[in-house]
Amino acid sequence: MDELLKEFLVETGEHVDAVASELVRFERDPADMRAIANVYRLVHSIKGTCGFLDLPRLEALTHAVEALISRLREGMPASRRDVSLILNAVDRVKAILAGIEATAAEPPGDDSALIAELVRRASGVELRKPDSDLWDGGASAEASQAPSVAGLPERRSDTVRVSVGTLESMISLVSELVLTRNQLVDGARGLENEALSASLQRLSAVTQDLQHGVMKARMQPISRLFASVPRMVRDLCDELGKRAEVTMSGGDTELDRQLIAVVRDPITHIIRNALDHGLERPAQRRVAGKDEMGRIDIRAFHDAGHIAIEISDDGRGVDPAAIRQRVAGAGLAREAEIACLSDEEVLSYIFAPGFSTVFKVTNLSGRGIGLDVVRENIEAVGGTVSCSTKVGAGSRFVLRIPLTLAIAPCLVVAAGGETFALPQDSIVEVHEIGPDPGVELTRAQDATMLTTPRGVMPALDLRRALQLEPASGALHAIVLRVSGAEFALLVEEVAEVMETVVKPIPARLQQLGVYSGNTLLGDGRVMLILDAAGLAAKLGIRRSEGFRPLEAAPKAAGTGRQHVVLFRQGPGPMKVAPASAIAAIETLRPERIERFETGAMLRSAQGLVPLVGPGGTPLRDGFAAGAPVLIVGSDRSHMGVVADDVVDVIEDPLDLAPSGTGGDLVGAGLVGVEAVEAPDLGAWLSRVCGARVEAPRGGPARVHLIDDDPFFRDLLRTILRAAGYDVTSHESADSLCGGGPPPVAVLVDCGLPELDGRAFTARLRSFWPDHHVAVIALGAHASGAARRFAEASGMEAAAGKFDRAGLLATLARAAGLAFSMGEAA
Amino acid sequence: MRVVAVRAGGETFALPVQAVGPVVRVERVTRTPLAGEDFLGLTNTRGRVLALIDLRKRLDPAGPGVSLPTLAVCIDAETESYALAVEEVGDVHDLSPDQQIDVPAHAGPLRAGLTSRMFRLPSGLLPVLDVARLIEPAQRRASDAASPAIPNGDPP
Repeated sequence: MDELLKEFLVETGEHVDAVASELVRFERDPADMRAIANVYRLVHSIKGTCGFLDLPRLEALTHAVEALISRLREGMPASRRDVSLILNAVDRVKAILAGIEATAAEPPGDDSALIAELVRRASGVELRKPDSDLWDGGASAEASQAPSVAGLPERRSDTVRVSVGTLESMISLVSELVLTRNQLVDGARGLENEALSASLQRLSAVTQDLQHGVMKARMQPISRLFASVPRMVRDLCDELGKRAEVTMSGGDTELDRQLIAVVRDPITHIIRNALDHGLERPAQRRVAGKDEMGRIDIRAFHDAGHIAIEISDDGRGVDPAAIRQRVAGAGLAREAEIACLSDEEVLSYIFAPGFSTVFKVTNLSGRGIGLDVVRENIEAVGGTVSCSTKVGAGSRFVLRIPLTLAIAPCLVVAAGGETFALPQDSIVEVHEIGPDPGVELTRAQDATMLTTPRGVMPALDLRRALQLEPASGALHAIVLRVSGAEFALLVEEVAEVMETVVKPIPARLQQLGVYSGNTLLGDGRVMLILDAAGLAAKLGIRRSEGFRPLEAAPKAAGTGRQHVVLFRQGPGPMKVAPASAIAAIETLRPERIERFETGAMLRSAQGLVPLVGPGGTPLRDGFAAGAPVLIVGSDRSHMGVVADDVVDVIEDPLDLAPSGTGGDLVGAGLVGVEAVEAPDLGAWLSRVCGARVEAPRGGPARVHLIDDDPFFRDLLRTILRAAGYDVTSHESADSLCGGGPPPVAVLVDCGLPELDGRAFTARLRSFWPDHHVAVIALGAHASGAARRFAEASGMEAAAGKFDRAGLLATLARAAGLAFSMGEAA
Repeated sequence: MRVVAVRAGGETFALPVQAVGPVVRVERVTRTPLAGEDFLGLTNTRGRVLALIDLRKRLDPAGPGVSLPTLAVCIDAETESYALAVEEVGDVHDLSPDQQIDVPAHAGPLRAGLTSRMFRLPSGLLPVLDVARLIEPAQRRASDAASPAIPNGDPP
């Protein structure tokens, strides 16, 4: 059956039932005008759809019903007969619907008597001799033509429409459940109660599945958005005198329902743009040796915890030289500046406010929004938009959007004795005022300004903005970037990075413009999430002002990826381990277990390996035969990690947030929408085998990290360790001295006080003269100050502290370089 | 009409039964700077975040507020979750129309704006509060009340 018809049946079935119950309510209380207004609305909408779907019999019937209800709505007193008559008509509608469901067409039948009666009542003519059959819904000859309603099977449908409110409240209950579970797991740690831990494990798994299921229920396929595209393209082509064919794939990719609405306009706009400016006219295409029929290709796919939507055309592309001219012409940048920019950087100016007006050749794309608004809308939900182009061959726009708005990584900050969460996607860098060199607060014209190596920017004291009493003297400056403008938020403390489940806040708080939501903490407390854009507005920074081209070039997908093994073990989130750390996965067979005083060991290809359970504790008893055992370790020492289940091996960038609880965790992160934690397998191994892991060929790749900010030092060390590096961190450049095995790389913060980059690089090289040690400058971003610093100092590369994937990719590239050069030497 | 009696600042008020939800005990709140003095903060009850309005402070902005822990009556104004922090929650009363009296003309403008009806009971006068207005920001209501002299054409 036609999809549209199916949906109509489900919807109308619900409407019809609602009509009946509202009508009964109205009959009981004729003063209840809301009830009759509802009935009218429902019948009216059924009628409207019937006309659209070409269902004349239903349309005529509902039209008559509508006429009568409309009279009642106007205040005509409702008699019991009127109500019975309408209910009778409702039954008839149901019977017809049943017929449609069975045969996909309206069943034959004659409703004229019923319609005539409805119309008579509606026109206010009192009947002298009413036809009782119609009012009693009795066995009139006419009614018997349609199948009897009572005998009809209930209409079945495999979907249930649920109100958004119900879903939202389920999500909050689930997040509460997750919190309670975490508390239970915390509390039960150390209690050696097998029955309890088994139940906890079960609870944990069920909770996880439930969370997954509820999040999934919010998802809608992006095909909802795609459905209107072919028609739009066709209409626009007619209007523009162009020919184009649109292909779409990945329509079943699912996106949070809130986000579908957010991306609708941007996608529409980009398609319009492609048709209007991208595709050439048929004649021009012929001359260029292309098919007259232009192509627009739209793809949606999952990309590392994001949804990517790619819109490409095979049109004329964008000429960077033309953009340079337009940027200069529109006064968006000085010519000298433009000359310094790469083509890629120049291209990002098409997203600048004020640019689209220059581009506005026809009425079409200029209608309403420009690409700057596209960028704003996408960035507002934590996404990115980028463009690549080749002159003569076409352009490609890529929107990257987070899977859901419901979960966002946040930085926890404190000011005036209160803690707040600050969405991480707007944070550029964090400075401590005082110790951080080159960072200072100044007052100019009665305004507080922050000077950093990045430049001078307005600063907003959060305590002042929220009218809080200062609780401590210490100050941190968080540099935020909102729609291209940067400003600093001054807070007292910077605590941790955490994944937050974002919940909406009541209207009264939303009106204040400084909060965007709230989230629940592990202990059940509520924490407010600050609205970076709202805070910027407090400083008078409007969206779209002060646009600067993107500093970091869009990353190619696939960088920083590694294979990881996902497995379940004990209570808590799913575990993740780098595949490189796992030598083999074996099956637990009781006959191969040897029991020793210290614990049980498994006879494996790697020899006798000690078996460990959740938390890396040695196992003695209670083995489930057939359970998978991950053999972890290097050529010298191994252990067997007994898992409940090995879920998957996937290729994923392991973006780990440092775990707040510390302990034996390397970090926690997200794989898709699922929270995972990475146990510190090295620590387990050293405990069980009494030695530190040593990988073949002299150990894991060694790196030195120099950063004077403890926050970044810890953050980066965690990231690097999670990626398998052996990290030694230093507070200052001076504490790094020669000796020891040569590292593959040294990462140094380019903002270190009195750091002479050239001298530092030369000194480093003298430590290990026989080895090539890659030196990488760390800055807020890979480009800009860090890149200039690296170039001036003779360093290999620059990397951004906030760009984990880019940092790891740069490091891997530099380390690979070091290996190959070392071998050549 | 059926009402629930609550006490705030030593006075007794009534809330329409259909406007109120469960009563919860609040021990911990998250402060919400800038939200106004009558906005006590946010609290978590079984995974639901409630916005707490301090009824005492709402009715008497100059007076002291409620202290924690406190009781709070949930009110479901258009599915947003608010709760009124009160000192005590009393019985449910059935009020008949013949007990209703006019809201005194000389009541303070703030109080008058928040009271929908007034009833005379053997135990004393019982004002029924307008729940929807209670959760509006206090500042705006106060400015409304500042110009009571101008008739705004409301039906009598």
